[in-house]
Amino acid sequence: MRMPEVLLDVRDLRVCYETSRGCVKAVDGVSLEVYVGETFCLVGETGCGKSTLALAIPRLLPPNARILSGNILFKGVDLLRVSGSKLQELRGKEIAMIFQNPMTSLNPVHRVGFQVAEAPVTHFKMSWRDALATAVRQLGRVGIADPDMRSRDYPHTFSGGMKQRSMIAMMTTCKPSLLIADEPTTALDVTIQAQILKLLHELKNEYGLTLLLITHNFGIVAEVCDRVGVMYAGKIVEIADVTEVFEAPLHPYTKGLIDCVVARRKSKTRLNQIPGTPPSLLNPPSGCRFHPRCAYVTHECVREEPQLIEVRKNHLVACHNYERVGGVSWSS
Amino acid sequence: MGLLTYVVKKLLIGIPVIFGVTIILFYIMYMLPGDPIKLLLAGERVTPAKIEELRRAWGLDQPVYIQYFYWLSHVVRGDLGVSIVTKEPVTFLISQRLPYTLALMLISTLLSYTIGVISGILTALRRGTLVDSVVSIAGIVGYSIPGFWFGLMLMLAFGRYLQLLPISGYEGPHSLILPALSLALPSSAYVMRLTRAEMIEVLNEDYIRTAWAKGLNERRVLLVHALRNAMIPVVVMFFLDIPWLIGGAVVIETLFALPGMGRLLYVSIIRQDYAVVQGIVLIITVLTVVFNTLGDIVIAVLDPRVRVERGGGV
Amino acid sequence: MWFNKEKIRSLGSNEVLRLFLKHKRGVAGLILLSFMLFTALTADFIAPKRFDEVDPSSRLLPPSTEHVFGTDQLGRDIFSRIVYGARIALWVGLLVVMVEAGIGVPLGLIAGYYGGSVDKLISAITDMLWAFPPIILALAIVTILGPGLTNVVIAVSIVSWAPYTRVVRAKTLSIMSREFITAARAVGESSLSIMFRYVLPNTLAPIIVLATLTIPSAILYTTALSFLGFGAQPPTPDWGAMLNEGRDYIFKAPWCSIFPGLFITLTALSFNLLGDALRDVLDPKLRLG
Repeated sequence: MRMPEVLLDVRDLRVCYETSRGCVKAVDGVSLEVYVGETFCLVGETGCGKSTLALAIPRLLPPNARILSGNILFKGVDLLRVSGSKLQELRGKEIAMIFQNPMTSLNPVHRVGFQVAEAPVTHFKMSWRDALATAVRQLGRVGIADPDMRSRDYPHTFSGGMKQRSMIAMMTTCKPSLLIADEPTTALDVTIQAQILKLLHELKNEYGLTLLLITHNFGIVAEVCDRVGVMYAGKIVEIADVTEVFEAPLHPYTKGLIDCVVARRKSKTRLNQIPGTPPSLLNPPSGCRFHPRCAYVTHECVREEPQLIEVRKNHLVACHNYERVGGVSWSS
Repeated sequence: MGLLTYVVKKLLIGIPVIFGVTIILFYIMYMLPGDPIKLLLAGERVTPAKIEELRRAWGLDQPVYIQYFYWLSHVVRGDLGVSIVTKEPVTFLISQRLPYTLALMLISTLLSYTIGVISGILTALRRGTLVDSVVSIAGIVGYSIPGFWFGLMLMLAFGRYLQLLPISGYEGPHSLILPALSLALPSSAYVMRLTRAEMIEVLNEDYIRTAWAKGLNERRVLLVHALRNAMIPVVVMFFLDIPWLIGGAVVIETLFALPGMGRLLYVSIIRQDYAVVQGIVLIITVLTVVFNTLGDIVIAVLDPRVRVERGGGV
Repeated sequence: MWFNKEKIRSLGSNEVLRLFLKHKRGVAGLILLSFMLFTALTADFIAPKRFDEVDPSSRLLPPSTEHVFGTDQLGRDIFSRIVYGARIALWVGLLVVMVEAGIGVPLGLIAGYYGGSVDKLISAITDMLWAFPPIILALAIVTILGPGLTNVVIAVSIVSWAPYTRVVRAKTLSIMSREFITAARAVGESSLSIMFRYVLPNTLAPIIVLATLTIPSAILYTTALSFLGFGAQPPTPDWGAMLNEGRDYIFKAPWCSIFPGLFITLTALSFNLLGDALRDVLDPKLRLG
């Protein structure tokens, strides 16, 4: 079997946010690899650190964030140690990112075509005339009707779905290698969600780009992803191919999430919930962070934090009792 | 609606507003104390019949609204009446003095907005640092200082100790420096505060993050994306501020004995020369409406979202 | 309960106090203000002379141990006049704000509550009044009414009630969309009652912040009018009037002009600092200008 080429290699990344009560550890020792050409989904509850991880890659974190340690290797270059000008070169051209809220992510005082054309002008030194023509083409490619006229409109005349399409156009004009999508459909209507996901999938195949998709929706994961990484309380708890994750999850948390999705799909009358609430990231639980809510908890779980290890082919999990997890469901 | 429609609408509203305000204005002037006829005669001995004759000649025996139309018809012909005190035409008096006031306001505005905007941007970029704290406090002190007292202190400093600039009367453009500084002080502090607040808010917006994500350099993000948004309220404030500056000019011109329109207004009020007062207030009113309308237009030019006309309100 | 307790409890009075005390500028402003207040209240005790005590033999004396701030052109002790002037400044500032709020707040409530053409009318009048240079309008009003502090208070209040109307209107509009208003109306509660019981208490926080921030401009305008000779009449020790009197002797006796203006600045500064802190603590969404 061919070894897949690693595009993005995150090694032991630690990021915290400074607050008046201390530094909140949003990402606490995360390592993962994203392979060229795949769609990697990063899943987890709100507040588990997945957005922080995503923002850390192009270093677009808010000012109160501190990257404590770790490496983010993109095509061999450590993004955390690279110069500002090199980072600018990469952003928009090699690494692109689309955000969760399209309503506020476009500049209200500039025309949409202008905003889409800015990237090629900056990175390819295109003339404005050529760049605007490219922008119009790209807007058409992402599904905006009458792109020539629309490119001269201002963002406030666009619907939410159109705004997100414009964002996608903006970020894919330069044909980046990696496209990070941070919950791109959460703020949109369900019908639009499907269209956007389809668009991302098409563009991925057309441009040969790698997609890192952040989401809390396992339904989306099932639809579009090749591989899945599950995050909980600032740590990765499981990484596997999507079919493996759905058929044989090895981490209790993942299993709980899957069971919810499956139950909903089968329209069962009772949704099995994972009891308890996510922990504080300021003072996380000892040992395994999931232990207060886990049905398989043992003394070892409270004492010692499990490491993320490859226990089966291409399947990593951080749990002391993973062997017991397979085959047991919550409802029994 | 398009920009053009918006502009035309605003201009059309401006005209009845000017008329409306002149009516209110005229009525206020009408209510001012002091009988103009008695002032005109000032101590001369005249028979009551002569007084009545004069009153009729000046049209002062007519009801208010007749007097208003009478006055209005003169105004549109450029005749603002005659000064009761100096017997010169009001239009002439004003046109003599207006340039000084305009020059003063121009220099003052240039000073306050340059200082204000630059310091506002700098403190926003260096938010939370010592520089920010110091400059911000200087700003608060700046708009706590009465402009006329600052002018007095400048007079003291330059008149007694530094002997560099004239402190009274008009000897040349350099006579305007100290007055302009006095007028500009509180204004620049407000401008700095507004600029800083707007910059900070804009820099936290999502679209700035998008600009960074596209790989744009710092200069472009700041100028094309951040400032372009943050400056909108500042530019609008510029237009709305200008009428207010005239008010300050009255005090400052009086203090520095400048031959401007503001000082003329003050002197005329004291001398009860109401024709002049009326003329000046009319000009100020027209300027106010003009600049407010300009402000409305400018904000629509700068911010496309405004062109979508919604329900009225403050 | 006629008060919307929910809002007050959510603030938690201890939390408010704690946040305020952390605000260094606000604390400084409070201290400065207390100093001014103390001066004003104890004027009778700390002033060595009466403010109108004329002494032709001691004209225009520089500061000394006997006359801490010197004497003016009539031999009056400037320190005493300043101290009594604090009373006037604070009292006038308070009066102006009360009248302004008295006009502006009800107008804002009505505009926000009834909406439609009532709102448009009130907003248009408010806008027009606010656009006009306030000093000129105040001058006109004072000219009609005649000089004196009372008339200055009226004049300044008339030209600057607009911020109150705007703030109260905005807050009213946001409250009007909440369910408990619809509920109250459905039950048949009268408009007046709704406005007083539900809307008004929620506008108190922004009004307090605004009041603190508009007292300085009230003081600055009234002293400006006094400086022009239209406000306080002699021998009233209004700081602006003192500046007017000291103007002629600016070179011979600069202390006549330095101290009154300095105290105007300090008083305005104290309210500005205090208001800044209050705004950050109570309603960070309130903006300047």
